[in-house]
Amino acid sequence: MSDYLLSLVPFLAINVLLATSLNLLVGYSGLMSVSQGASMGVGAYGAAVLATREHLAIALCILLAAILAGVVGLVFMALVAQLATDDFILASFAFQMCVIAVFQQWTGVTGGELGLSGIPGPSLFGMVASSEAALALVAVVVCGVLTAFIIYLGKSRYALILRAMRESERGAAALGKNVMGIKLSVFAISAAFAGVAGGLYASVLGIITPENFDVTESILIVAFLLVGGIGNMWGVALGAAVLYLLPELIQHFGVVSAQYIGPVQQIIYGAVIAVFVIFRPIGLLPERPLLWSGSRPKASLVARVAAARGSGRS
Amino acid sequence: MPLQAPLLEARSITVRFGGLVALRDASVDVRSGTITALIGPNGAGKSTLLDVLSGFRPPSYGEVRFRGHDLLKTSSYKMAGLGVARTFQNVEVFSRLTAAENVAVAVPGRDGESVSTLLTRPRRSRASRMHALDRARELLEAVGIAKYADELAGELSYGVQKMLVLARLMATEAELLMLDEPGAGLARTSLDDLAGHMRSLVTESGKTILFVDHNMQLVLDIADFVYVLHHGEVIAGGTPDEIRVNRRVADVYLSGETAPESETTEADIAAAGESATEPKGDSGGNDDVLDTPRRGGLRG
Repeated sequence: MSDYLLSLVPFLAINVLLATSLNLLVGYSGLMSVSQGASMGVGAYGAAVLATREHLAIALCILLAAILAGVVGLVFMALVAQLATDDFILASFAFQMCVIAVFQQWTGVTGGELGLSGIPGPSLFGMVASSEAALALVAVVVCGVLTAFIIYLGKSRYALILRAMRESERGAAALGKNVMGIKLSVFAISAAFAGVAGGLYASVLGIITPENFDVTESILIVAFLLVGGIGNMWGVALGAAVLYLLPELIQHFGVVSAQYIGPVQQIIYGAVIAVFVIFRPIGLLPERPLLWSGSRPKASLVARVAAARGSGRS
Repeated sequence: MPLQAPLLEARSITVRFGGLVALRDASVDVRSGTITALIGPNGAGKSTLLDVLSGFRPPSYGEVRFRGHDLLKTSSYKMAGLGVARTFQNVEVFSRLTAAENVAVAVPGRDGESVSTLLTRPRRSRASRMHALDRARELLEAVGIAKYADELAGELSYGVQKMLVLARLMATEAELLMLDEPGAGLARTSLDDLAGHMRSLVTESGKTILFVDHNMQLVLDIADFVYVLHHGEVIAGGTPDEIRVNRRVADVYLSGETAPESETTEADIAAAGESATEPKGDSGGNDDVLDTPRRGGLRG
């Protein structure tokens, strides 16, 4: 029982990292992307190939694979950075499909549909994380440190520029911001963090197949944001926790028999997303300003909305 | 004004959209420490010219120099660093950022603006963020909208948004400020405030302003130099007094060949023509614009 709960922790941590890294892109920069699963996959396959073929230390493999995911993301973004919102979503979808096609077709390296197995578990300087508790600890430390860094980024002037660019690219450019450069950097950073998540995922699970990283995974990560609150780092982490744990716990406590769990999981995702989009589109914890000038006390969201309504907007 | 090299020189700017010529051989100078205005009826090419001068639209032909730099070879985002910044007709506020954040974005400072500086200089990045916020607060105070500092920019009234983009422009520390229709949609009192801010930017902060506006009264009141565009060509350039008595300008605005863009413009030039009669009214005989109010009256 407690071993079971412990076994969920690494994946919970990985999902939180995926959600916060995508939030930099979708929430802060307004670049709606359904390719975070692909970036995660590049990290996973990169780490798996390096570890099983070149027998490098797994930590080094994950690091190199994350860099690879960042570079692949950078190349993709360099090709499509000019596209407007709707076209960009389609382009990211195409990127997602291309990457999965490579995983499926490049059989000699990726193992095709069967994927890769025998990926070594997390270890550092010869210390192997073999127990569930050790795996959980490693995942929480790695994802925790990286998520903390993303939250730090999310409070910086860099994040302020991302949000400004999201609201008006022309406005940001007129104030001296290099919109193209910022788009490239944020996509590469987001992809690299997803790459770490993927590498860690491969190492914890020991076996990967293309469908672990397909478009359903990408959409699930977007759903973390929708539920948690696009643009709020704590919100999207919460969204990842809720959406990951809900189906897992339902399955575990036998509410639904194992043979139906796949479809039931999809129905739960669909229902939760629909409920949020309709009834609370801002998510559990909505976006908040980064800088408060202190011209008035930090009012709660409810008070702010009430004030805005009361003052009769234009 | 003495023969000092202009801060901004645009020569022979030509812009074609397919078969349409939006600008033909337009040349303008902006001298340091002055307010220069571009006016003309709708579709005259004013905004297109401002887009070219601010690096947002490459011309088909022509040359733009700012302090000797070839601006046409400069990316639009590098203009602010060189000392040229602009606003837009449709304000382009960052709607879901607070007013203070809108201004803070524009405050120069490399620390904290890139991931590398955030990693290597965390303390300075933090200081830079605090500085940007302090500066934003000062500038909001300066344009008289400090009480909206923590409101989302998208929820502010249009008039306040106009002041917000002015504060944002001031925050860039650019020397040449280009304003695209700063007065459009402003009430009388806000217009007076705007004129005051524009004047003090030049006299007290040493800025140079180039602006496009429909409001003839604002233009003739505060500009040191006015260019009039019509059908993509610069048909006149001079001091407000010279423009007031320019026959071609009066024709463009009041003859039937081009419909004036709005009631206010028509009324404004009529009023402007009236007020121009004292100092310069004796210079032109029949060419004088003395008769414009009458024509305006006939049309109305």
